[in-house]
Amino acid sequence: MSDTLAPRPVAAATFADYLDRMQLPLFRFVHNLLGEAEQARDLVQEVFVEAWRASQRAAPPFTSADDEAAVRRWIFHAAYHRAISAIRRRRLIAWESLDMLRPPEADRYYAPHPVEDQVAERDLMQSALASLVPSDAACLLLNAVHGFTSAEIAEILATTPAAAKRRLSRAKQRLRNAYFAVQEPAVATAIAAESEERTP
Amino acid sequence: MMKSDPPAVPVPGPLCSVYAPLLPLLSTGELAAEETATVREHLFGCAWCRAQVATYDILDAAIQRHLGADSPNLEAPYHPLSLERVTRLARQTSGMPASRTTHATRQARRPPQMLRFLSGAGALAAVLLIAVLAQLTLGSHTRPPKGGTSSLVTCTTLTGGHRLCEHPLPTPDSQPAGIAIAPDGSVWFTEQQTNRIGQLTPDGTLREYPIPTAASDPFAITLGPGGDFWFTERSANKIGRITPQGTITEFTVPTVASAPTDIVLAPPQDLWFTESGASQIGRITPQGIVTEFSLPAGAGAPTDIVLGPDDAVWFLLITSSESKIGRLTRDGAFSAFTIGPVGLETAGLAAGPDGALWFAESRGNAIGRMTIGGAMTTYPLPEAHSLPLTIASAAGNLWFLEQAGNRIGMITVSGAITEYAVPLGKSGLLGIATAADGSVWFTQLSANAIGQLT
Repeated sequence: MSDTLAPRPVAAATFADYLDRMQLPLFRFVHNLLGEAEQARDLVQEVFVEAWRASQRAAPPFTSADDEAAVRRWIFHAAYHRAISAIRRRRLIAWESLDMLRPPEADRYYAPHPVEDQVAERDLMQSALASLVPSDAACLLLNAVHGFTSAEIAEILATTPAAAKRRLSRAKQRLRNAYFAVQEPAVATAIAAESEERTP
Repeated sequence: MMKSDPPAVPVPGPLCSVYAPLLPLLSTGELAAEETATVREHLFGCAWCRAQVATYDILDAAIQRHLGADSPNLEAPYHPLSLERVTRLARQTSGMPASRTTHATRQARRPPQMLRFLSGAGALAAVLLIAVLAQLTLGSHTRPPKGGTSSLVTCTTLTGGHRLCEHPLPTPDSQPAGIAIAPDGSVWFTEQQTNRIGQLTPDGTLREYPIPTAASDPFAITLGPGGDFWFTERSANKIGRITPQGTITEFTVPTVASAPTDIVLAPPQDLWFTESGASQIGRITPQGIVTEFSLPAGAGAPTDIVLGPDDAVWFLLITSSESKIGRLTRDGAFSAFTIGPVGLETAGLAAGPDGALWFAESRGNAIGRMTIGGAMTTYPLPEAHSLPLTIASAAGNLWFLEQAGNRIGMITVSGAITEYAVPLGKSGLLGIATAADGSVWFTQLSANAIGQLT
């Protein structure tokens, strides 16, 4: 591998471009994890300050090579670890358990809450998300909202791609269980009939 | 399609629990083409699973509506950061914090506390010092497979002229953890997921020896007498011994579900190990005879263990409220020093070249040093949230891994820190060992490789 030229720091204009385009999605990610806007804003600020300092040292990925995908993974990685720290300080529980050996929950029959308005539904989604273990919530958001693959999520969460994929499946199952509620069999039947007609 | 009767409420079939974890992944793009085809085939004949998929479709839409990029921010609007503000803040907060020196508290007599065993700081990497299900099976000798494979090495140059080389492992997701070096320069390591002991010879040949007990969860490994390597099997509750030729013998720990974690050689020949699930220290002779020392009530769960300059074994202790360092003499006399609150999350312990004990405070984000008299100094790391995890002594300095910071760090005995950034894709740094030639070897979880820094 050639190592003739020392890497140069990313140009200020390029960094400004990253900042412009990435800070709002990052804020959304952190806000969804923390559930609190002010703390999320401070955390996003910290991440970009650290990113700037890394760029001044020409530390990868903030080099003139301009690997934007790597920069994006880096900032989500930095934000994720800070968010987890913040959640841990907030809670008295020291550790999240991996829970990989817990037997899968029996699949019960679910139907959506009849919610009347956007706000109530949003609150329901937020509280359902908050009921997840933080690393599961992060995994789900990184894939469903921010479009990262399980290989990229593995880098961000510092785990293996297989573990990230398992975590993603588990997170969606648990979010689904938290978001939905058990309804009358009649309602369940109606959904089944509807889905049967939709399937080719 | 006309229906004369109302459709029956769907019920799950015998295969549905197999497909259940795959259904939420259908819309994520994470299923391979064959997996998707198999799932769709099952869905064609299964109303229950179709109904599950319907709920995930509804969930997906709700996620986009309320958590997605375009979802309205119902709280105050987000005011964007300017580059000017970022650079100004960066200038204000530069500079390393100073080190601080305190005196560790000698452990006083304590009333018995309820022990809640806390896992090590590898949570983020999904590798923890945690007691899992114990499976008691009988071990036996095993013959190693013939031959080996050469691994493709890739190297990069880091700032400062150091070279980082990686030896990828052939099986995906092997989860290499503990690592140790043989006198001939071979690198030996545990593979948690594939349940093997790996050997990388100086000429680059890789051999992997299966552990007889299935799913044993091998963790730490250390060089023992006569050139054999000894390792802990956390789930199987055994101590394993592997010869340089790859023959493995296993010895069951007498205490059930003791979760043997870390292991160290105390010359001339005994190996001492921590039973983090049983609050005990074990000693095993090369013949496999185990003696166990129970720590006093409230002492905590022992994790990492080293041989101290005073010929006693020293180990990290975690209680529900404190981080401590314990000491056990060869005769079984116990004492302990309190480092600080459990929130520091001490991880990684090394006997330093200066005769002091060095450890990582993964959440405290610092490297700590304690003399055997209990005088403590703490050296904070330059960057926040680095998660230093493990530490080893080499050539007069200490080397440590920053799992969240993705850096390899070096600290001198006077506390000067130098750090080397490891590319993000090569992260999940876990175990560290130092070789006689001064190179630092480490295991990389997410890169599924053995790394070497020269």
